[in-house]
Amino acid sequence: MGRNRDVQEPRISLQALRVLNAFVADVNQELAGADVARVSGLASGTLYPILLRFEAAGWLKSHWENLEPSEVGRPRRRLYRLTTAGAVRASEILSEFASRVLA
Amino acid sequence: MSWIDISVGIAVALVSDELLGWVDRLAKWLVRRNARRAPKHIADRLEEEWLAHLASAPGKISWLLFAIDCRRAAYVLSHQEHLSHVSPLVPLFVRLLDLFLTLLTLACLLPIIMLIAIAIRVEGNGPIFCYEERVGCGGRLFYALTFRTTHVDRPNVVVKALGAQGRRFTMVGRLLVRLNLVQLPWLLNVLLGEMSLVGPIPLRPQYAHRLCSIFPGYELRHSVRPGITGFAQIHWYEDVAVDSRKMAELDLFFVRNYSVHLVAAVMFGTVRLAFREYFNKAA
Repeated sequence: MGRNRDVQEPRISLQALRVLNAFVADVNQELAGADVARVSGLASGTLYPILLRFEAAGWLKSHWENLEPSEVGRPRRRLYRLTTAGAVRASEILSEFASRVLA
Repeated sequence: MSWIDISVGIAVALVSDELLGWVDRLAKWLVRRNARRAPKHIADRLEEEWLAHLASAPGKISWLLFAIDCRRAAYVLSHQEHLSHVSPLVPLFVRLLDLFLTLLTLACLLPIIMLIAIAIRVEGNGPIFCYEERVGCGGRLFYALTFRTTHVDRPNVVVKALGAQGRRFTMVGRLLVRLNLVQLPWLLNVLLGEMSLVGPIPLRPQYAHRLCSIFPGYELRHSVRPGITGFAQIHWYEDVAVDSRKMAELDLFFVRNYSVHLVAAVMFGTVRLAFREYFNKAA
């Protein structure tokens, strides 16, 4: 997204940890923004900047769900899933956080 | 239960049903509007994504809360995109300062503005304000307001035929130009959030496009709101020999070093210049 942020590691806040936590339960699952909001308990103002920051860093990838909005009568959802690099970093970060909390 | 109670009950149910129906539209309108405030290249995506999210929210109040909070998401995304090198609190503080100073200035100048508006109306047909398309923050276009200084019913051909210099300008227009008051309505653009008191000059779209193609990285100037006064403007006022390349460098310096301190320094610089000009004229 950001022109100069592509190679930078995204900032990890407590809210960002909750977003990562929503994905690591099953690294192959695809979640829409609403699903992540429900699991993480984050409001849209916090959630979407984090999702887009992770996507820009290459930790998440996203695509539109494969359906025609006119047929289902609602807009398409954007589905996010962890990339391989994202899954590795997410489990590293979460385990580091867990070890600090338990230490 | 009397028939009055039943009627009141039905009326309340109908009104609440009507209001709840409008919440749906209001929430969608807010989501669309807030998505437009995000960086241009992701605005369409966010609009569809947020509308889908909205559709899955459980109740009408959640719809509204979600839609309102999308404004925060758009602000943070826009900030990450354009001004990630400064704290998100800086543009917020500058905006509050803009609002406070603009409201104060408008309150003080209201009699003068009313007088100018009446004078323009009395002198001839035509609107009080003119508006020109300019490039704003994030590359979004807006209309910058100025007082009308020219006759609306006197085309160029007639002006040439009349021959005398300045015939195109109205009398009030000439006075406004001399007193540097033509752009006073820019304060309304500041109030609307399209401009700031301090920022780069608001450029016409074609001119901005040309400068961006000449100077690499010049798009960065659109990371902040254009201003009534600015870092480059006060330098130009000090030395009119400053060329467009130097102006571009000054604009970029301002954006790269954007801070409350720099904004305040430009404000004081402008006031100092205005006083100097006034006393030079008086002397």
